[in-house]
Amino acid sequence: MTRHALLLAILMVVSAAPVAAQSLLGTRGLGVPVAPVDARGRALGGIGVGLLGTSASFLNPADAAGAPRKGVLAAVQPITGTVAVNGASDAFGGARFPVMNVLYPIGTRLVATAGYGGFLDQSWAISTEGRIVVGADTLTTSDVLDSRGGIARLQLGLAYTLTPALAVGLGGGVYTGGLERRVARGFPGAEPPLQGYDERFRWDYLAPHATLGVRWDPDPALRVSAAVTLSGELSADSAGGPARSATFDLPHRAVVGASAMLGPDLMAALGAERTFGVAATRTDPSQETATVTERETWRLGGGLEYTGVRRGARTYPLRLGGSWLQLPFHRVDEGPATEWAFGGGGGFRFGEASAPLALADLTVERGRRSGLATANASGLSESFWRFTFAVAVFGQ
Amino acid sequence: MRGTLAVALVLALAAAACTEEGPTAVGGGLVKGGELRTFEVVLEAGQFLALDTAIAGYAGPAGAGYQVVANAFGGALQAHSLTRFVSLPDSQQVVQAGGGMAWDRNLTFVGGQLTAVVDTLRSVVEGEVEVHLHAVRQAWDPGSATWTHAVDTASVRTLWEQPGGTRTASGSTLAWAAGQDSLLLVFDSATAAALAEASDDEQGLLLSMMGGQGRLRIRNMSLHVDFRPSTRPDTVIRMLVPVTRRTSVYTPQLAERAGTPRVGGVEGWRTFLRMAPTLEDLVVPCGPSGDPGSCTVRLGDAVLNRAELLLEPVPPPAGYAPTDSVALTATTVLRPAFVPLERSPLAQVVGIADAIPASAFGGDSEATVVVDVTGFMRPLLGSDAQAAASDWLALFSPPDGGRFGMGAFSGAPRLRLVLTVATEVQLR
Repeated sequence: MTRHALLLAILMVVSAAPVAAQSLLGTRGLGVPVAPVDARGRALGGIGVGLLGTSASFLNPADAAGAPRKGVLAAVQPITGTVAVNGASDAFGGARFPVMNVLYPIGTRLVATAGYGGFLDQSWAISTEGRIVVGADTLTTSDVLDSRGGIARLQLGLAYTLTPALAVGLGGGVYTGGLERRVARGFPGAEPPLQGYDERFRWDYLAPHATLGVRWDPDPALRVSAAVTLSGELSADSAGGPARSATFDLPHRAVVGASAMLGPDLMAALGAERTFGVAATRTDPSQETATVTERETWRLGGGLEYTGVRRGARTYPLRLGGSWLQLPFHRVDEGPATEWAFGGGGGFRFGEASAPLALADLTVERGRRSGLATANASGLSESFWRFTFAVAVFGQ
Repeated sequence: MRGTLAVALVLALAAAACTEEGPTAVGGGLVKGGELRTFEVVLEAGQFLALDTAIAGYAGPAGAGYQVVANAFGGALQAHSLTRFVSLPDSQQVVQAGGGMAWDRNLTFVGGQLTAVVDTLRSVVEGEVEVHLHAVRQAWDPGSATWTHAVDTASVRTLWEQPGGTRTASGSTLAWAAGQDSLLLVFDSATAAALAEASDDEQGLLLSMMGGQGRLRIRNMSLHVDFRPSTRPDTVIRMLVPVTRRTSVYTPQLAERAGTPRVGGVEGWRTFLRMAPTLEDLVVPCGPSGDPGSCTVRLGDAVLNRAELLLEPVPPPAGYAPTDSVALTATTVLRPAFVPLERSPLAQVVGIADAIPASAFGGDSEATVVVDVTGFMRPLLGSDAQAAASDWLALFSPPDGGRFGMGAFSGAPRLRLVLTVATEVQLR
């Protein structure tokens, strides 16, 4: 198992950043929030903490307490949809790796974790065609503004079981990642031909964070979990091209989640996340006037899981849930944006339900993001299908 | 087995997720920053040039592959062709009356015929002219002879006793009118004897033109000489005498340097342009044409899409007007240390202009010659960091010396730049 876990870990670490165009809402601020949640967590509301059973989320390091086996969990998340901007629409799509987490029990009370997952996604790309007059010539232009990258969260954690009902966790790490913005212009059909314009701006991100969490199981059928993450200043250092370095304050966040067995095979989960500690309006140091505002946001979600379908040593859970969240960034002259999604899915567990040897899950969500309306324009809306696949393997 | 399946599944998911997504065609107005502006700037010579000089000598009439005969062409040009042949033999094997071959060492040259093939497309004659054939009467050097000098080498300079080539009186005259593709000049025994008696350094035939105005371009020549053997005085035998060297001499001769751009010509003019060393620091307007002052940008901060050198054709020096189109190529120039400019080798071709019609050099044309020098200017302005920048540009007309007439241009070339700038891309 160790060799496979290592391979999985390497694979997911090298590819954990967002990989393709995701959302035009990522054009605002530092991008669209990405929850480091696996397929089960997405189906149960997208919060990912306080879930009875096995979860890949590392938002609360205390949630790993009691894990009986070494294991690695990872997810991949393709998305496809339609974006409409002021009456015009087009398709978009992409994929990201929202989370991977490694569990490593040390003794009977301590579990070490290493997690890497999404935080903010700035992957998007826009192309425009036009005609311009240059001197005596009229030229057709083909412009591309392409943004790839984002901020990921790397976290090492320790979970300690104080009592069978109470566990605490401590985590720390960095927000890391990078961003490449490409601005390109071509002149298709120009005669004589013209060299194109192709400029790339690169930044590297780095910021510290620390998390303190607690998990309480007042009853074997009830779990409550909460954590607070404090974030330091994010430095965006120029890493190529004429990019200018800048620093930004990142919000702190508090997350709470709970799940309860409503019956022998039916679980309900609820959760919420709140960001706090951000200035209402922020000024990019490279700008003379404030153009982007960041707000303190809520993320809410919940869902149901039914585990009554079994065959031999395998369990086939079924899930249904929904989530709603506020997107943090918009321009000062725009309205804020929100996202909702409803979905369901299933999977299988091999082995005991509380400590499986392997699992695989799939969640399909239908959702919509909208916002950025101004006094003169209706803004942007995105309808999407989001698929989240997750697998995990555990040692004996 | 379980782990292997899981790894395979994750790999498959990762591969499926890593497909490249294209950009959306909507949302162009969403982003502030990164807006592109493409604009045109035309720089005057004083803004972009540090040096502009034309140098001759990269070709010469001795290696041109053609000869020129001219009279008052362009109101000024006189030109003679000079041709050296294999020395006429002083003995020859001759078939005897009774059969068999015998050496005859007492030949009598009685005349001959010079045939010159004329390049009718590149010859210009007003009316009918006379072409005269002469034998040269002074030692001369085919590699260095000029209108004034029979020999003009680094170690020896000998003036012609008669400018344009010391020669006999005309041994043959032929009227020539435009359209005739050859000259057949039959000469008498005196010219033949002069050829036979001349020393190796002296021997040669000279063609000159009298009457009318024009410039003939002669592609090649062949010489046949008639002799009468002493053993068979009733018989005339014709022998072919191969050409060994040929050249043209002409006046006026131009100075070897000029301050305005020239390309081509029999002496292979090249023009060297050195860009101003601070060109990338030049600040130019980038605003819309109606309000150019609303935006300015340093050239080094913009990306160069296209650079064109704009040349205004002007009449070349009298007599050197081209008779057909002029090719124009731009190359970078290597400038090794301690090597003078005129000996600096040409490097990479960066632009080729469309063939320039001869009429463009007539003085009443408003044509502008455009040379694409984008490949040269992009490294210079920092738009292409991969290519080595050179600030020297050479203009020439390949092949060097391929045409007698040259291309000449106004001393104020301009540089048209199409540039693109982006407003600063904001991180958020």
